[in-house]
Amino acid sequence: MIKFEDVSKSYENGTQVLEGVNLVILPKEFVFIVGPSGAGKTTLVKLLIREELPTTGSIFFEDTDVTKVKKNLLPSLRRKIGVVFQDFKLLDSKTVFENVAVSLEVVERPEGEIKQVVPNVLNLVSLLNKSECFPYQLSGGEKQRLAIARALAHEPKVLIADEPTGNIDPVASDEVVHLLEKINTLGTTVIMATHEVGIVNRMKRRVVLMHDGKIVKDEKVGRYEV
Amino acid sequence: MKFDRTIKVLKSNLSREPYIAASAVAMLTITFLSLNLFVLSLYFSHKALNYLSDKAQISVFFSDVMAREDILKLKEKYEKDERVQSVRYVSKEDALKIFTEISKDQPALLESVTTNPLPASLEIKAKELSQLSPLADEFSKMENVDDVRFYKDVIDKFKKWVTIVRVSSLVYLSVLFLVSISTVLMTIGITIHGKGLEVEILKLVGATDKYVKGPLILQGVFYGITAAFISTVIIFIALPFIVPILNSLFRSAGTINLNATVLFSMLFIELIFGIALGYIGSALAIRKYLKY
Repeated sequence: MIKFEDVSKSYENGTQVLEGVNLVILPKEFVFIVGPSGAGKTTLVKLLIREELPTTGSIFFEDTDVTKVKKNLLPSLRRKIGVVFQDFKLLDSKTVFENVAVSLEVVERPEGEIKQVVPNVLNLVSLLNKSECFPYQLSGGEKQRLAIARALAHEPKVLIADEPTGNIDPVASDEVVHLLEKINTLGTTVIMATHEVGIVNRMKRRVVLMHDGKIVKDEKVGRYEV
Repeated sequence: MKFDRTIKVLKSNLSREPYIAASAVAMLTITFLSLNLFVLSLYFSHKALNYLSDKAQISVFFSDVMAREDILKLKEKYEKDERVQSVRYVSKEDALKIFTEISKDQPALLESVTTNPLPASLEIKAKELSQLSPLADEFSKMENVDDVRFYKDVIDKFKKWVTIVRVSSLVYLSVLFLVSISTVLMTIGITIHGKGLEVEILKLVGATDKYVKGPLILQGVFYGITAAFISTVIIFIALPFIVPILNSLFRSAGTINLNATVLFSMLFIELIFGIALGYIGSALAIRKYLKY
């Protein structure tokens, strides 16, 4: 489903953030990308959604070489991938309902369908009672759940969560991880970048360990030890 | 993006940022008002110049030895001249009638006129003011021409006026256009500058450029239309006060009335200008502030 072929990324100032990354992720997998800060986890996510381009190598999403997708076709690529960002990236001027609705609006779903789908997704993340609230009225955990709801609403094939528990308390972190697990059992491929040892070791899922821009370990049922 | 959704987003943007919207419309309204006043002044000065140009003519006075037929031959010749707009023959008798008419309040003066001392003349209007001087030279060299009168100073002043008004119109309109574009750029820029993150997020969730830009472009167009409409309404209300002032400024042209056609043409032009300005301004602002 997702394939990184000998991917390297360096910036103009000479900083090498990824080096010779080879990685294959199959449909319906739940994969942890782990490693310390600066290991290259976020860069991997950015390359997959073409927020950035690799210096060398190819990245495939299904049969599409992401690095060669034309600018006008980027939206359709991104609609197949749901992304949950560490800093939530919520629309502050829109309500909880509207934040979720926007991901359906951009794919031009009919108004009636949006009115049906959004409450269902909000119910899934336990935010239905906060539909009319604005993001500033939510706690950190609620914001992250809202970000997940938005990423899920248009039923992407892959959900990527980049440090989704980085800005929230442990209880909220557990809620978020359980939610991601539930989403995975419903058939969505989940990739979660994190450096939280407890969560990774408790889940007993595939773990890809990164260090200094390289993959140093890839285990089907792995552990993360700092 | 469907149009009704674009409208929905526009409504939401306006209702959530009413002060920014109001100040953008206010700035543009001021720009349009100044454009309105300028166009009105231009219209009046143009009318005045036309009036003055129309009044400018050469009067050629002939000696009594010149036969009426010869003068009429000359009239016919100059009526066919490309430079000439019209030629009017004023006979000795017509001249006396005019003199009698304008001197009717001075009976002593009229009584003193026993024979007709007034000469026959031709009154020649040129198509262009600049052609009056060469025509006057031609006539003054002819035999039996006693006098050629045309108000050279006045005509020179007209010519200067025409040039000044035309050049300053071009300069002013260019400057005004640049100022208007900058105003829209700034006001819409401020509106959308705060949307940088929102646009980034929309793009990351798969929004097309059209989806992102549509409501912002429409917002600029909305500001332009609203400002054009408000400024025209203000001008309509202020016209009864403005027209007498402009009439007194250009009194030499006589009283000029603005008719409904002129006013609706102004509204139409301003709406077109408002739409174009709003569109160009917001498109430029999106490029400038959102790095498209």
